[in-house]
Amino acid sequence: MIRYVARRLAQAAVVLWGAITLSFVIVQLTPGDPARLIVSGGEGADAGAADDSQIAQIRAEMGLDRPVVVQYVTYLWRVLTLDWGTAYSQQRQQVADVIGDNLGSTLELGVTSLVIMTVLGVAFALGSVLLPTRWLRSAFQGITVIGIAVPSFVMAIVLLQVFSFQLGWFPAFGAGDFRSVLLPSITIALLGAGTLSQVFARSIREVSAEGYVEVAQARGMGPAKVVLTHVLRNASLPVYTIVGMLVGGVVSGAAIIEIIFGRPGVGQLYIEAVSARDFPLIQALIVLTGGLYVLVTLIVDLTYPLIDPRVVSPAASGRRAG
Amino acid sequence: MSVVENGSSAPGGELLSVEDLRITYRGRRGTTVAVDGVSFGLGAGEALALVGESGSGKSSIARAVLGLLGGRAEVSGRVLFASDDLDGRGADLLTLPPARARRLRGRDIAYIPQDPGGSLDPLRCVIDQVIEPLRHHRLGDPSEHRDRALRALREAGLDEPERLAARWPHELSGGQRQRVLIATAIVAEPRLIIADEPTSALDVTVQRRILDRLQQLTRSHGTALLLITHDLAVAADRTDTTVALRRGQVADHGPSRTLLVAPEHPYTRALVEAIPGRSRVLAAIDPPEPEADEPPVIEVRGVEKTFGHRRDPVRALRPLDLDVRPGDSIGIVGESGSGKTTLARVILGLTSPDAGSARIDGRPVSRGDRRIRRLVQPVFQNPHSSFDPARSVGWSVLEPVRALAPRPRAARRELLATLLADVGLDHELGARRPDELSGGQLQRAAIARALAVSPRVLVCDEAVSALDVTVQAQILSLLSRLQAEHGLALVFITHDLGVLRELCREVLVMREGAVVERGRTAEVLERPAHEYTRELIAAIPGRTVGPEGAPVDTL
Amino acid sequence: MTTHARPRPDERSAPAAAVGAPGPVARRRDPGRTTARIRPLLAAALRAPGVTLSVLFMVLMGGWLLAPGVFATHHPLEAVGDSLAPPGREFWFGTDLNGRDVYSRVVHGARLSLLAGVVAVMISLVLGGLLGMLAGYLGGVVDAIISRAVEVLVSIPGLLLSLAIISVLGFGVDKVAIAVGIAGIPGMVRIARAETLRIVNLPYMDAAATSGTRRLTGILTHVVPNASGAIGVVAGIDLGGAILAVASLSFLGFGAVPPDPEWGSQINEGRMYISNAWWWTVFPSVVAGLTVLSVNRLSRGIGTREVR
Repeated sequence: MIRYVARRLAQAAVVLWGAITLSFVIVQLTPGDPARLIVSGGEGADAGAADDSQIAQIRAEMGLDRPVVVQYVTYLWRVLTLDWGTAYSQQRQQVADVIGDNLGSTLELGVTSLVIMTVLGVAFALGSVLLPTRWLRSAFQGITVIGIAVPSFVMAIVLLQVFSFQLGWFPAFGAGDFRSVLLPSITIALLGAGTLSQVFARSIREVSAEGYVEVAQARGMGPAKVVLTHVLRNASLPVYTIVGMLVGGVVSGAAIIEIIFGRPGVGQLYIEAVSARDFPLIQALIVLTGGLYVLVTLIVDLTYPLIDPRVVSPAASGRRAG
Repeated sequence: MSVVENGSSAPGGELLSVEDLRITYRGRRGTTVAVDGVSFGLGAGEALALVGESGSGKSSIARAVLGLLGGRAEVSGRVLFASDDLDGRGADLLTLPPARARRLRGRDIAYIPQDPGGSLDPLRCVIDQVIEPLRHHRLGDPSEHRDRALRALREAGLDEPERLAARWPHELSGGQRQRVLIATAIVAEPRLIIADEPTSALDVTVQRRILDRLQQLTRSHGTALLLITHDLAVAADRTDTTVALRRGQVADHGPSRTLLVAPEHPYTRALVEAIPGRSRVLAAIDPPEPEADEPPVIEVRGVEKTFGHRRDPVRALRPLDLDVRPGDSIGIVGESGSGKTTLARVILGLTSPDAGSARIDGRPVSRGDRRIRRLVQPVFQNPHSSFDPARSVGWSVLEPVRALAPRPRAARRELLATLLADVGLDHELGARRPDELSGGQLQRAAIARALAVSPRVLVCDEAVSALDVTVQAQILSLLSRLQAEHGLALVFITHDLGVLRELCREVLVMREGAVVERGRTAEVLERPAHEYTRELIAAIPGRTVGPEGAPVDTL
Repeated sequence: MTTHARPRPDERSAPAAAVGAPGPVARRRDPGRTTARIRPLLAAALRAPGVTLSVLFMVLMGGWLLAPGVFATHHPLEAVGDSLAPPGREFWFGTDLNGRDVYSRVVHGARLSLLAGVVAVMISLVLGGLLGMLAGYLGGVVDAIISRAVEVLVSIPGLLLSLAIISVLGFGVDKVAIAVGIAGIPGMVRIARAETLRIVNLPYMDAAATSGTRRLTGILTHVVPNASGAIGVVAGIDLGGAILAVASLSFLGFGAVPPDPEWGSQINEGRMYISNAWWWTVFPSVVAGLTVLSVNRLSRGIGTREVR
């Protein structure tokens, strides 16, 4: 068991390191001069009035004229000590400050979305497998498809139009009270609930075909009891393993939803940064996102053995011994 | 007790009475009739076997009694079960309201499924699963449940059940898991146990012990037993009456011993004939004697193989020597973990040994050497997974030809026709996909593929274990004929001693990577020297029935 | 020696009962194939209206992609009518703020949106499939490195990763396609690797070895055909996702810019006017959604038919 924990921690560290390196590599691979791009504020802005002294200053601040290896080591150090540089597109505030200001709003949005998504996803899955009428089951299955096929921004625009503008149930913009977070959260939740419910529904079907479910029936347990005692626990396992992916979906959904709903947050910050080619900010947000994913999957992996006793040793690579 | 064919009711006093049962399944392509008017009866404390091959309907009947038929099944007829809280002849399980039927199941009628691997909830520990029937049916005082469960585990053959109680299913061996399932079945003290091929997934010696235990339990508790099996010999050993099923109808019935020893009905006779140890046709085959002075075609010297990680090594093969002369036929017998498959793979060049060497016709076997493939060819256990599902059967049969002895297309087609005819396959089957052929047909094609480049050695790794009994006999006699015709050396690997008797002149018994006994087949079977060999022989079903049908003392 | 005139596969035992539902949810098995593959496919297609509709819709999209001039009614870039005119006989989808015909713009936009999606999936498929098969077949260090790299890429959600790549490459539909393609590589690597591992451990690979087939030949003739089924299904579903991603990125302004009629940017243009000119946003949205739905339906439909 200890070996398992140690292995997972080591793996997490490697992936985090990889994310940091990725963020470094991206800037290095930029065709052209990153500093120049920062100054000209991305494409579309008037690139003509590039001030050479400004560019030189930024180059120095970002350390772009030093050898690559030195840059890399310095970058690693700065990231780990939370010295993330200046956000050029945000009135030159410190990146760490800017992120700090916006993080809370996104966290609120993210958590609410996850909660609603879980509830909806489980409900749709159970409905699409267990409801008595075939018609009802197909209906629930159909709803999940919508969550997957409809573009997130379309969903947002439609919901905004219907529920905010027409019906006036929710405020349209801003991040004031709790009500203002509901509609954006529901939007994000609907998108992820589709995937969750499909995975869960398929898992329920597969588990229902397993031997022990049949044996339970042969022992005289009614369908409801069999589902509750045997099927649900086993069927939840695959869902548990995709939590990391679902969280990632929420994060990327948040970016678009924040823009459409005019909410402050790190998502819309990221998009602004990409627009303005504000590399320090982009890098920091990549590391943050990667770090979040690593944290979530680490928690999932470490708690998984509590649910499934089969996972104690490191996973086999799948190769036959010989 | 009475058994009646396609007729009307039987007299009372029976525990279970199946009357004119018909089961059809509605599928995408129409309806299939699985059971077509079957009737039989089982009294309290009796043991009855339903015997038949796949498709005979035996499993469907069991599932009808257990209520496990799905929504696609249409059932007619009656399944009467005499239960304590109902008077008279008993209730028809098929028409009882579901809640009442469920009360009988698990409590009065218990089920032991075929596959122990998938039949235990992987997320629940052993003791919880044994207690479940007691808890669900609210039998007795909850504080006593654990003790009753432990007792049941002990009766099922697990010593020190307290140690296993908190374990998880995946930590148990196949035999242990099956015993847990038996314990779960007996813990509620049912009146009837339905066991569906309860041991086919287990090693032979374990099979025998499990069946022994089951037989003993049912006799001592007075529980009736309905045993589903494809093996008449098992039925003869373990049950009083046998009902032989064929394509959903009762083909024959009678006392189990009589059916095995003196079958009258042609179908029963075919079933008996198919049991390799009892086949008269096969018995006429004598494995050929090899030339005494020719050099061995297979030479294995000091071959060793260990698998696994440093911390947890598995010694698959201890240093081993083996000589096989041209035209000879050698059987290698062992259970799982004996190393027989590893040895086969070493000879075939699929696994490289850690030490030692193997030679075919003087030529060393190695994974990279393609030309050795012309000398030694395999027949694998499962025909459906040894053929590429994306290719036609003919394409796969010719694969060795294309790789090792290429020739123009016309010549290839001729060769294919010859090869298929040689193994008794219709020419047009070569154009089909593997999933369109039956197991027996596909295994014939596998043999054709193996013979395509005219090898000197044929290595058959459990080549008939995955096939129906009647088909097994056909394949074995085919192999024997081909061996004689082509002068092949045959290495036949199996877990089933009974299969070897006619086919192999000499037999090696392996256990945990080493050879524990070796000798001429007839001698080893009649006068086994090693204790393990004796266990293996005792595990062959049908040994309790002597030639006259009288019981025989085994060891 | 017996000759079998008709093949009779050994009958399987009764399908397992499902829990709670009157109709069991047992897995479907592929029925045996006769030599002609077309006819049974057509018959099956008629039995499944969802798949048929999807096929028809995609054929229409194909037409829009290949020959937009044939389907469009007006020039997509010129002002041809009143500003913000509602849908009518002349302008089927209405007009936008500049008086351009929304319908013709949507038709011409198909090329931008769909082609970008296809290019993206091609990139993922080729690069991801190759890397996945290498990882699965070679194992060891190669597998470890590739798998770790995939994990790192997966740690950044697809859209954000694409955005990061955009910040490097610059803006424009072509760059969006590349960015989305790169972001889709990890998913492809995973499925290709899993399939390769599965197949390599199957007995017929052993049979190929004992038949003398060279390793490389074995991979090409056995692994690739058998893996392509599952990989193809994933690629199909990825296509839907890629089209969405391209639309999203254009919506955000990183892809095609007005006046190019890409669907995502059109939806963005129109969203401010949704209360008085709903058609500007809704029609491109509906078309985009239907496209993704059809692509998903088709790839899943073909998947269940091909699975062995």
